[in-house]
Amino acid sequence: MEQSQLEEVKSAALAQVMAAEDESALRDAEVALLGKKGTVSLLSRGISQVPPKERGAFGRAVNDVKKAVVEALTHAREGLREAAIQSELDDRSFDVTLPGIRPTGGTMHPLSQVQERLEETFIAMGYHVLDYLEVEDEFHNFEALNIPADHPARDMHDTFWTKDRLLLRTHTSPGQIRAMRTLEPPFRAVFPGKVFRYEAIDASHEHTFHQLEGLMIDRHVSVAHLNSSMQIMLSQIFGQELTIRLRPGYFPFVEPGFECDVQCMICGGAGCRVCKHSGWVEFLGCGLVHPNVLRSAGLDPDEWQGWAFGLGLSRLVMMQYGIDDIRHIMGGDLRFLRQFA
Amino acid sequence: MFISWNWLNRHVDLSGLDPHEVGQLFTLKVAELDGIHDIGEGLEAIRTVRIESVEPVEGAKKLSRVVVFDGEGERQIVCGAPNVRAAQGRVAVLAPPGATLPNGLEIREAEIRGIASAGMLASQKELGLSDEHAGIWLLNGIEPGMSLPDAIPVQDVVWEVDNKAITHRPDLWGHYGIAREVAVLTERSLRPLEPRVTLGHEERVTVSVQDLVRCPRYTALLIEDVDVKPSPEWLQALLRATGVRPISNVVDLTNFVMLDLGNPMHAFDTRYLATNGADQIEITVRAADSAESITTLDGVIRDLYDEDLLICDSEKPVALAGIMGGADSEIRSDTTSVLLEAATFQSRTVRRTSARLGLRTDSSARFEKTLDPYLPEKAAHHFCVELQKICPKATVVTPLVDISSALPAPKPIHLDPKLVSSRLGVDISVGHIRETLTKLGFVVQDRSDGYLLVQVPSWRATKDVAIVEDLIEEIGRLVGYSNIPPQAPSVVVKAPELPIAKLQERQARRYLSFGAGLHEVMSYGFTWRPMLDRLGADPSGRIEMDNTISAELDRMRRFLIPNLLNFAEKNARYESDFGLYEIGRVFQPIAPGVLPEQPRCAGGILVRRTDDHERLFRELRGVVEGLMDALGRPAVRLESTRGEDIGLREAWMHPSRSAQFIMDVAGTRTEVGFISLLHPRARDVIDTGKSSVAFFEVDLDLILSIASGPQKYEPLPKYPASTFDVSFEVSDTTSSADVQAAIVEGAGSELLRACELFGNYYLGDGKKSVSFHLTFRRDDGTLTDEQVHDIVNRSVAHLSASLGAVLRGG
Ligand SMILES: [Zn+2]
Repeated sequence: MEQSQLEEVKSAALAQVMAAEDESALRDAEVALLGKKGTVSLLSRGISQVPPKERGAFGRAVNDVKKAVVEALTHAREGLREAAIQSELDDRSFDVTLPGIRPTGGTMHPLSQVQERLEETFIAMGYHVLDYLEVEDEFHNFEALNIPADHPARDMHDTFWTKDRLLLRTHTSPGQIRAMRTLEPPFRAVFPGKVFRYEAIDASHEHTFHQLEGLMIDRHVSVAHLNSSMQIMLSQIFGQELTIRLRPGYFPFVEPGFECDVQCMICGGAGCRVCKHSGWVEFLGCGLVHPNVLRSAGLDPDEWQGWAFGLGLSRLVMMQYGIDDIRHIMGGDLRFLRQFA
Repeated sequence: MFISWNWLNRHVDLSGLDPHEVGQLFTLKVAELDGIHDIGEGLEAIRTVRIESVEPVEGAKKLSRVVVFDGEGERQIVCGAPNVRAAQGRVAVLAPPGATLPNGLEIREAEIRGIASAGMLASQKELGLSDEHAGIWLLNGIEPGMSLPDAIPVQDVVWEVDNKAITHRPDLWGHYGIAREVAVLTERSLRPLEPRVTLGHEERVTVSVQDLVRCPRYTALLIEDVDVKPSPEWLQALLRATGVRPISNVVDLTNFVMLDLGNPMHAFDTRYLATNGADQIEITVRAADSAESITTLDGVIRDLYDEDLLICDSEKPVALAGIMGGADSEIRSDTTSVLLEAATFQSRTVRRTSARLGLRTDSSARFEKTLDPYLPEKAAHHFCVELQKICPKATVVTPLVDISSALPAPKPIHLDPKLVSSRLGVDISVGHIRETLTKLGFVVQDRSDGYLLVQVPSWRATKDVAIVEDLIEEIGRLVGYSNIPPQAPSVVVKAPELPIAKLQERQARRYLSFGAGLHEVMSYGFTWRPMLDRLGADPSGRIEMDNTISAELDRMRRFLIPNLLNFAEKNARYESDFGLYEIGRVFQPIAPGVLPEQPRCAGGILVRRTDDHERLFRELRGVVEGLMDALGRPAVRLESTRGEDIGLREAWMHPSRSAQFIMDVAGTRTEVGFISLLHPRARDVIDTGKSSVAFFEVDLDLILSIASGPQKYEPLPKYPASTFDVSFEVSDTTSSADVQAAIVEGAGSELLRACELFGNYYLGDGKKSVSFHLTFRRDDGTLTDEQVHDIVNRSVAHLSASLGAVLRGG
């Protein structure tokens, strides 16, 4: 075979490679040229017709042709890949605004979310977190809390009674008695949970709602301590430094008793619709534990003192999310629940 | 309760003070005000006019042509109020053209039926003063030609006191008590009550109190020559401002004294009281007889019980003590002789009777706070003094007949001044304590040991101030709680125990919401009765309520599922594939009067648009298995309950498509939950569209009561495993769990590391095919095919012998 023939094969092969417009054409060319019966592969067979002393040169020439073809293929591939990348980069048809496809996920009830966050805050501040019974007896719900039978304060606690004269706790405060009887003082504890009031429901009233009660028992407890604790606690709950104020409030199980107001976070105290233009939002009830309560829980009021507070979890949840109808909380409606993923 | 600023000014000169600012101070230092309302504003243009003549308007039955004298001249008005017809000579109020009423109505000159009308005669409601709109407002004792606010003190500021905030303060249930606090807050002086009335000497009234515990004090006196007529306008204005409808001078004054001093009173027309031979009225205070009844002022016949306390004359009950008078002896327009009662009744008695009868009155609300037994005498004099001012001929002809138990002496409290500073957390001087308490009416004496001897005034001594802490509150609130600098409490050194139960509940919640994709709901502690009834469930075994908001909530829930089914059904109107769960307490009665078991349970429900119930069941079972993993893998096992009569007795559970979760608690096999499809009969009544329903419920408290062992790491295998798949044909009543157990048992080799089901097909004719994926591995070398085959063959032989299984492939 003449050198010119080799050149001819080579230029034909390179032309074939160059002509390939995509990867599959390129693969066809590769098979046609370098496959077992490919035109370039077959060149080596011609060596038998070459005189022995020229065989070395012929072999080298054939290899050069092969090498040139392989290089051309590699180059063509790179070109194609580059073109493909460029084409993807230039593509403007990809729609990133199509809606996400979510894994099937559920939701946690907004009340659980708020409650858990509060519990975390209290755990971090060294509080026990406890959970007490919902069906209670008169002793724990009333008598031990300094609300004897026929006390007018019972009017504030419209009560669900069972046929066998037990009751559904009207507040989380029975937990105070149970905590004092089981925990070794000094201690701090909170107990969130469901409470029940015998009243008709509407957008702002529910017979079943949630509270969170807190109790601290120590050897020396003052109003100043309570003031500080409420300020720290409420700032933690809302995640910002808050101004609070205490004013007289009546709860038979504390003495003195307070309503604790938080300076309105909407207007900063200047007065707005949310705070009814007072600059303050009533947030919880609290006070120093009444000596009668300490006694009924088996603690000596000369030795131990305490403060307690109770806040409305359901109300907090409604405030936080701007929920205008309390019935949603216990309503089980997915259209409501899905909003709190 | 409503408190009038004008009224307060009768007791303390508040001139120059802003009622809103003083109200804020009251909220901060005494008790919460729910609102502060300005009333009677912008009425300067309204004038008093005398009605000179009234003529019917031809062709308009309801209209009258009225000529009024407005102080300067006459003007003509067309008026539609019926009461104008008989009002000739009376003084009315005119809204002249140009005036704007509080409701926004602008008065203009008008022509009605061709008659010019120069203004409008107004009702109280139109002036925003009360709800009274039966007719135009007719005044008494007022001259025509005056601006209304000049004629009558209609302009006032009313405080709305939160009744709950003064539950413990009987002294604040009247203006005088509020004025006492306001005087302290504003540093002005409280005027003493007016002097006493001159009493008579006729022995025409006797009082006998049979139970001095339930009626600690009863006073009565007889007033003659009373002229019953409308009250003067100043009195009517005060009553209206505080939400009380004026009726007549005598009745109004009983209300006035109640709203002033806080002690309810009652006036009887003596014509309807029996007298004895000596012309004496014999009042007896006694317990009711359960055969008795009384018709109260509101016209209702009240059946009585022996717990009720009655005021009786010598023949019959005439009043329900402390709650309401009898209808017969009420004051009428022609009453001239009045028996006045001022008494103190036991709070419990009044409370019980009023609660039982559902009869809450201004009177009962006060008596149930336990009133000051010194008050009735003051109230009786106060009434008579005021009565004689507006009805000068009225004469008290008897002494104040006064029956009482020994009135309590002032209660002394020994107060350690240091304790005040210690409890409040701020230094308070002895002088400051003494001064503050004295201003409030306490009598304070210094003792040689440094203590203060504090005598509680009678109006604070009944249910309010009794112990040192109560005094500390008095001082604290007047110091102002905002003047007590916050002080961090000492740190509790002991770290609290981690709330394990809470943390696990949280794990469960996270898993069920975000792992299993269910939505958390919260439902009532009650069971929704209509759901139970529709399910055909027997409601017994559930705690029964004595009082219910509605008959639908008459029992506590024993299971979470019925409430969840209720939610599922509601949501199925909008969605066909979803899951719900709840974590909450259920109630299992133990014995009457004993607190029930109240375990925290987790219940879940899957609603899936599928007919493949076995697949749905498996999906839910997977959810529960995942839940157990999230709870630290307690040793809970599932036991099939097919064909067995076990603990699943609720009508909504599916007897043959359900299973129990079992755990060994203290060596006892204990049911800790169940998983089930809906009973086919329940399926027919629960409408979830084309979706099927499966549910589970587990007792978290029980499960978490058994600590699950710590999880151990297993070394990773050094040698590759061999796998082998087998399929068997078995009877379709053979459970896959039995087949699996037989495979493992037949293999009898520890080299069989796992045996997992991957196929379960029903072949018909009572047969099914079950396929398992077997994994074999040695820890010390590679297994040969021969070894694997040997083990598999042993299993196959065992299955064939024990379950009649036929190898289909492998
Ligand atoms: Zn505001």
